[in-house]
Amino acid sequence: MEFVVTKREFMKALGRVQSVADKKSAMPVLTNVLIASDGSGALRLAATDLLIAISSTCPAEVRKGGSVALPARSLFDMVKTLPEGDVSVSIAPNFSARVSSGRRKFDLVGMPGEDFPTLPSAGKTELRQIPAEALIDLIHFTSFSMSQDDTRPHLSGALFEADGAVLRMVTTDGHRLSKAQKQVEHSDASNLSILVPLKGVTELRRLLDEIRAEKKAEGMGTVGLGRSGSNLFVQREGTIIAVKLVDATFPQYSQVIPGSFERKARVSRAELLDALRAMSVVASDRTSGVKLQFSKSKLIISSENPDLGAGQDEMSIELDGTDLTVGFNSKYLIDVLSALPSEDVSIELSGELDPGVIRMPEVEDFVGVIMPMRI
Amino acid sequence: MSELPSTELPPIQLLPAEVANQIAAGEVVERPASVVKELVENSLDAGARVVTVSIDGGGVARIAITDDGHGMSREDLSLSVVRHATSKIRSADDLLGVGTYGFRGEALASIGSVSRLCLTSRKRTAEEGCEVKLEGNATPAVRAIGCAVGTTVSVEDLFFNTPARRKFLRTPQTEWGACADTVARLALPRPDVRFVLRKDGKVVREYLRRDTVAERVREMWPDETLTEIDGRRGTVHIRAFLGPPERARTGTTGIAVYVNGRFVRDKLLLRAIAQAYGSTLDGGRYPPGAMLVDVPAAQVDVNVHPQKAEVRFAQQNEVFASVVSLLRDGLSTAPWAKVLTGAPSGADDGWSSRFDGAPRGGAPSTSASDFDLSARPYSVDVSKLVPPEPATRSLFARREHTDSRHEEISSTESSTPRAAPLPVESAEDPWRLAPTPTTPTTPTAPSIETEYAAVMAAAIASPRVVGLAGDTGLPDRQTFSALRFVAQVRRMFLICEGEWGLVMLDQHAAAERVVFDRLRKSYASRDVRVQPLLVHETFDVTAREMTLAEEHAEDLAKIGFELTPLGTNTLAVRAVPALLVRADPRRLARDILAELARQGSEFSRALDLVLATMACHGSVRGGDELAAEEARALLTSLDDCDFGGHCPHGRPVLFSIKWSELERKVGR
Repeated sequence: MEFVVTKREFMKALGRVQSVADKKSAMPVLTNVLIASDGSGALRLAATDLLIAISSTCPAEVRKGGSVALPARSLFDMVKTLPEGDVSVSIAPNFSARVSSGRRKFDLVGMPGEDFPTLPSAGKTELRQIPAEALIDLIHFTSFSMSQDDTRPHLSGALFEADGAVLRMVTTDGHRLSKAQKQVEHSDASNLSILVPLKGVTELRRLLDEIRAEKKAEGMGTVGLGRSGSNLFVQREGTIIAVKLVDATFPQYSQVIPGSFERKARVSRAELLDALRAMSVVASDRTSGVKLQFSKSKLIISSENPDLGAGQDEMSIELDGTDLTVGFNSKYLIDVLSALPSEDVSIELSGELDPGVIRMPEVEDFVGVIMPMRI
Repeated sequence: MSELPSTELPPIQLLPAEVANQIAAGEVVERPASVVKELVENSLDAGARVVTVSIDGGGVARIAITDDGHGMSREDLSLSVVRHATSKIRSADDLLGVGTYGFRGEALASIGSVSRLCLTSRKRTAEEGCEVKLEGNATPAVRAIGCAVGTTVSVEDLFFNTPARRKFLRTPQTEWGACADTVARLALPRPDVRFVLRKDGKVVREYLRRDTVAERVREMWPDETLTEIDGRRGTVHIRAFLGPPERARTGTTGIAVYVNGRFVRDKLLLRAIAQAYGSTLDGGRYPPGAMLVDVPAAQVDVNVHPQKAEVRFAQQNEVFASVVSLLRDGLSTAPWAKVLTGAPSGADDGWSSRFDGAPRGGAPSTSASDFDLSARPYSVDVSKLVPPEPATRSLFARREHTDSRHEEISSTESSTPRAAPLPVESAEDPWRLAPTPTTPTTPTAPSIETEYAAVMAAAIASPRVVGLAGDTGLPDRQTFSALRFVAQVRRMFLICEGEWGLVMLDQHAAAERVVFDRLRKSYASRDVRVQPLLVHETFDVTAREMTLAEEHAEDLAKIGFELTPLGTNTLAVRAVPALLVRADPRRLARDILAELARQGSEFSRALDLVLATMACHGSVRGGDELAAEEARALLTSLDDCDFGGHCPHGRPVLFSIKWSELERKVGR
């Protein structure tokens, strides 16, 4: 196998796949990136940790087709040191790769491409085109409330639902929940309800961030998305990500979102965020509890830690309903407030022990639910 | 006795039968559950196909067992209540091959001596039934009566004539829980019998007749994915149904072990299960499920314990080795073992089938350890930290002067915390250069025999004291925050540099200690912050666990825990302490119930251990990556602890080597 590729394209493709290559796998082949070409003008690069697989194409002048598996991290680091311009790679019959540019060259020990696991294939499943912008918004609005605990797979993932023209994403870690939805133009009958693991969400987000960074002017375009077997496939141009879905039941989220409320406050998001960040400095270690005292026109935010001291801040708000004092984990509030773009937020409350709901005023698309803390 | 004893001792006499019976009752009849066990076993021995157990008022008011077995004739009936009268063995030789549950012939007599006992029975061939009544030590009264085929035994007012015993009974709820557990245990290996369990008149549980043990087991653990193992090695035959290691629970409440169909609490077999799971299982935790071991009757002695809860094997080492190897083989094909070894678990998942077959192999116990984040590897590795030379050993701050056997106990039985270790240095030897009194021990792979010995030793000596006493474990009043954090290794240890030497901390043990201290402080100051759950977590519990949760609801609320029953055997976690929001509420709740189960009813005694269990869950674990700032924060927090030298379970948090020692090692 032999090919010439520009450093820029090669780095881009390698960067995209190498984060998935498993650095600590018990199976050495998984630390590799697969490079393959059938002899046409492109390379296919792929990596997998058996949970996520990513493959990406890269334009190259392929002199001889073939396939090889090379250590992902080392190859990336080597190519990085090479001068800008063309990088030529040739694979010896013993699968050792010579990577050279100008007068600098590296020999890298590789493995036959056949040793690399076959990646899952979407087969005949038709991928549905959805706006990348909508998808990244959904992730952005909800990913913070996923559980980080991978022993609880039903919570350490995001529920992704396509319901006619509505795309929806819901996450919860048992203490709080976020639900975001978007209306998309192309109404498609294929309904979908899948649980995407944390790692898959992270990888999707990386891909979408990259798209956003690239195409600022003409919009982000669409990504193809579909399910085949137990995998979710997301495709954008030459890049395909396959994520093995979680086989668990997501909690009945609609039961958790309160249907009514007794009090509603409209609050400046930035101001509240600032006050919460300030108060969490004194909030009791680890529990980060803050007290919110809502009254007609003002909100007092306070926090105390018996070992350290106390803090208090105050801001003006509009409250619809009677006074109420309620405790929250400040981290939960900070997370949701940081994710929202709106100027103000509305906070819907009932009793001091009933879940609080955070929304963007005049926007139906987002609901954040947080369970109060008993302080 | 203030008076001097008279010079003449009273002559030795044979005790009257009723006194002997009451003494025997002390051994056989401990609580209502033991009555249930004895009577249900009798029913099973009588070939019953349906056994109905009714428990009223926790079994103290009334226990009634009805079966459709052979029944008894009038003569048998009146003899049955006489001590050592049995139909099950005829001579001492029969003891060597007991094939029935009962054989001692003391159950009915014992029960009769401490309750109002009434038996009615009719043989299939008899035209009428017969009733015998026995009240305390009165003479049995027999009369003819009309009744169905089979036997009904009714036990009322248990311990009415032994108030001391009665005082030791727990609440009716607790006793009911124990009775229900007993019935479940008896029902498991007998799928051919239908069991009906009634509580205060209502049917609360029914085990329908099934074709196989597997079906009954699945009925009993509906939530668990149990791996079925069926194997034979030599004379040992095992059938096991065991859950994955991440579902393991502290203590033995979740696992049932049987020998020749008899439920036992055998340390040897439990140890064999733990051994088969290897490092995927934390010390003291056992997977849910059941294991049934069959050996030829002649090779096992069941006549060791009045309640027959213990057995003795003729060739115990062989039994142990056989069980371990059979379980290992079986577990290596368990679905979770595949997940742990990294290979895909389903064929339809679109991943390469070529790959699927590739590098699995090997016992899960070895290859799994790298993947199972829930394992706390330090609990196993502690012993390996002991350097071989005695000189270094003396520097291993705050280690006990014990032999390696004790180390083995602490690492395998981490659920039984050690007492605070003895201080190593003495005032006379500030440089600690004098040879230590210990014999050097090289940590070697323990053989099955030594492990067995260790288990038995642990069973005998298990001080239930949380290691709270002592100092920081650092020499010379050093503070943890003065240490310079160098690196995290194996995502498990924090390497730090102090002025006087190198310090290695177990990150999980250290974090656990910190959380434990915070929990204790907030509990002491009645300032526990509670985080109610938005999404309630539910889990199935045994009747006993349900009872514990109900009994201790108030105490648990004080530490920030809210458990509420949903139906008869499901609990919902509604709130957790705010300090532990990262922990899995279900696993946490299960472990706390297990801790309570072991500690008995007094909550204050269990408190520290419960808090320790909670701390364990809310802490950084082995396997978590720690950033430098997090590590430094942890060191600073350790300074605030009353005592940072040991984790709340009593294991040491750190290990240190003096520079001089290091220098000597490399010959400087």
